[in-house]
Amino acid sequence: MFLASFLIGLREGLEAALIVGILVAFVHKRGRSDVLAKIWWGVGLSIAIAVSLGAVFTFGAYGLSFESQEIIGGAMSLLAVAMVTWMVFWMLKAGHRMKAELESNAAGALAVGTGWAIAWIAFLSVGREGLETTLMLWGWALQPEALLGALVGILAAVAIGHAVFRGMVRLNFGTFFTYTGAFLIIVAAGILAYGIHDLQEAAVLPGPFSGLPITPTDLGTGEVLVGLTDGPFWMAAFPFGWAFDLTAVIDPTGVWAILAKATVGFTPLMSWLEVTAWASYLLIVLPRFVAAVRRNRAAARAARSTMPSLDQAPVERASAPAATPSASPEQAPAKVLVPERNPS
Amino acid sequence: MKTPSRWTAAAGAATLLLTGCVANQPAGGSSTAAGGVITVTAKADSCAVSANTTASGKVTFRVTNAGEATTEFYLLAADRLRIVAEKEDIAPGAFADLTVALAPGQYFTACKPGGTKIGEAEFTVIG
Repeated sequence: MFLASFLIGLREGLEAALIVGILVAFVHKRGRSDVLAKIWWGVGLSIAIAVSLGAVFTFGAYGLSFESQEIIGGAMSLLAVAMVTWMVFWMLKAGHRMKAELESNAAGALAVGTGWAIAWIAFLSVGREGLETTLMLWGWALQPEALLGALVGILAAVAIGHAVFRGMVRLNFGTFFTYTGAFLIIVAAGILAYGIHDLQEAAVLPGPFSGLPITPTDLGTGEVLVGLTDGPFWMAAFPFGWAFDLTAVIDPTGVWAILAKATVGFTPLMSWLEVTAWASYLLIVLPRFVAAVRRNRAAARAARSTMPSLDQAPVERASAPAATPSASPEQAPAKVLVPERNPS
Repeated sequence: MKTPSRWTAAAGAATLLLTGCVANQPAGGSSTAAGGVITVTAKADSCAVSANTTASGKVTFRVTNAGEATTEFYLLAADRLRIVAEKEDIAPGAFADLTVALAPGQYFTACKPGGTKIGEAEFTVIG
């Protein structure tokens, strides 16, 4: 029981812990403790709302219907995908501007609105599974072993998020934005797929749970069609049936399935709508991301060739102190000092 | 972008919370199941429901996982496709309660230990 509920807790907490870990690493690198406080406000508020609503719906006179629970989870997932996507591209731009800002000594580039936007992403990331999780935890209030397992699982997820944060802050700026950006896009694609799954379960979106005639079924057995060539005609399962069903091969409650779900969004049973949304998102967003990264690198190279960059500056000062026309000797030490104060 | 979407989301969530409520206390007495609670015992190859008929209104299923794998309990509509209610993530050895308001009609109960649907059985709700 303990291991099973541990894995459930781990799964529910991992995605949020990874996203919050990256958010914290990002503002940490920018030395913005005020935004850090906003992130913890977002996380804390989300947990507080989920825990209290979970208690009200478990012990109060009224519970939450299945549809509402799925619609809340699904809608928050879609909102989280939109905000995480926006943040990835914004982080790239901010990382690019970073060097110029350090050189012009213009601190505080994170606008007030942006800080709150980051706090909202933290809020949504925690909240989208939060209500479902706290409903489960309150339901186990009288079953200490299951409750403890789930709580330890959530703590393990937080520990993984912390490890990601520790690893991320060590990376240099360019690598940080490329890696975290790519990772967040892949996580967001998974959240999109699962949000659609939730909305399909609630029959808000058409799919395997919509019933006839929308759900494509085998005329003989009544089972929902799976894959490409099943059923009365080719591709009858598309787009409202299952794309694949690997539950016979992969246990969806096992540790690998849980890790796959929290990182790349893969589950052993996925509908065509989920897979289509997942693939479309990646096909649209990843090329733009790669192009933005390349633009940044080209701009960085161009900047390096015209003026002494941060890491080249000490060498140039030593070899040719007065030969650089773009930087006066008074400005040069200031440029070098800023990154030394923030060795990240 | 921020303010409208934020308020839309908040308003939407509030609406759902207010409209998506199900009374937690089952309507006792009229149900054929003792005490208004129907017990479900879920194992690796079975999904035993203590009653296959109940009166319409609020029904609570207490699902106990007596198997080795984490399981789910489903209440399906007559077409065996639409989900009327579900309880996911019931750890082995644990139980979970599912309370749902049911209209008269034909339903199906099923369990999903380790992700595979088993033990689908008819469940009738009478007026």
